[in-house]
Amino acid sequence: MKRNYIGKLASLVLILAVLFAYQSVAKAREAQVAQNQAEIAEIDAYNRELLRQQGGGSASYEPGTYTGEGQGFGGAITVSVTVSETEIEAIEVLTHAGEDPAYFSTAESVVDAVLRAQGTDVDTASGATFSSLGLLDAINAALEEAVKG
Amino acid sequence: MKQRENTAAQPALCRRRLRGRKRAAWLRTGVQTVFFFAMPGAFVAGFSGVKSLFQSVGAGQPLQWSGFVAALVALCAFTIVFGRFFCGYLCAFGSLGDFVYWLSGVVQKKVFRRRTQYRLPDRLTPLGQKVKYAVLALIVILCALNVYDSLGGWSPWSVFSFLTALRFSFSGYEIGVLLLLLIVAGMAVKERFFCQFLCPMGAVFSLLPILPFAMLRRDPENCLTGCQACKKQCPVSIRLEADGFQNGECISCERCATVCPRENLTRWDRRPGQNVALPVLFKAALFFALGAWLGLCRFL
Repeated sequence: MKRNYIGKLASLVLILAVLFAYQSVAKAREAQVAQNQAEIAEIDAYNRELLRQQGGGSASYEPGTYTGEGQGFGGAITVSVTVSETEIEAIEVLTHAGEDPAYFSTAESVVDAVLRAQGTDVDTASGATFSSLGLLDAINAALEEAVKG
Repeated sequence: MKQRENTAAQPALCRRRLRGRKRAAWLRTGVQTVFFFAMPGAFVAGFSGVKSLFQSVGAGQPLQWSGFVAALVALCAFTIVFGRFFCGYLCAFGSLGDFVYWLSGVVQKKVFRRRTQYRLPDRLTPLGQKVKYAVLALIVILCALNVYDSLGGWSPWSVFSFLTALRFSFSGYEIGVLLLLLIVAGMAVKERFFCQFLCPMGAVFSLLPILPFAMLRRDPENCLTGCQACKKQCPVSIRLEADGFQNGECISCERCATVCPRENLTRWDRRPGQNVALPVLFKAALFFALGAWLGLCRFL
């Protein structure tokens, strides 16, 4: 039984060591990717600015703050979305009473994804699918308002 | 035979022991009921932590600290220190298993007039207990290959979580519903069917180096000759001869310790003559605080 314990302890340490090693490799890789993405974002912003100056009718939203509602896991989720003429600027979650906190905090990662992608065609958070979908529905509802103006 | 003479000779002792067993059973049921309604998502959150780690690996991204990973770390740390108390007393799916098995017993005896409850044969147990490692390995591999999320609604745990949230539309989750029904059928004919045979989180727990002092210990010298009360009570069929109680399968339900006529199963927090309810309540309260802090409680 003692050997059994030491064996399990050794495997746990081994697993943690492998994850730790993986983490340092992945961090380095992520830094590289982040740098590339920053360059891409810069070029995108430049392009958007050019289009705006040419006045190509690219004003997609009526600027302002809009609220929207979606069905989450255990009830309604409401958000407020602030838009400028061309961009989604900020998203704030107003209510999420029906969601389990640990699950909802995971689902909230889709908010950042929407801001980055400037649209709601993003992946849901794994393990918190329904809270994610509720958030995306709420954001979509708000954006529909924003488009109508 | 010897045992029967003993108890018959000491009716007061016998009554006291029976009362103790009833109290222990009620205590466990009470704790299980509270956690079933307060934290029905705790076990899923912990396993979502395992999945999210391997999904990060599959996507080549750094591991992310999240609520799920925090739940996983908390569950594992709690289990290393206290044994699988979470499985025995706090896990909502384990409680469901206990309830279904109890209900099955009542129905079999009252409706079908069986004298004893039908159970799957014990010789299948050792093999069955290995299946959960295959389940764990399969899910981890699917996560690491980045195909897990595209499999859709097969998870019986998702369907269970819909039920705990009183949400009754299962479109896209037909396979999950079918699997949950099969699991419930299994729960009816084998105690802790899912926990010991299929639960991937149980597989993680049974691989953890649970601290030796957190395990119940039996002193074979002090046992009544031929008495196998503890072995017969064990829901996960731990073999007395081979491994005593130093076994990752033990879910710390403490039924063996409660049934033992000599109070011969002991642990640092469970000595003969000591209050048995206090340590249980202490551990439950500790996990409740931990879970509430980590956002696992539905009402806080």
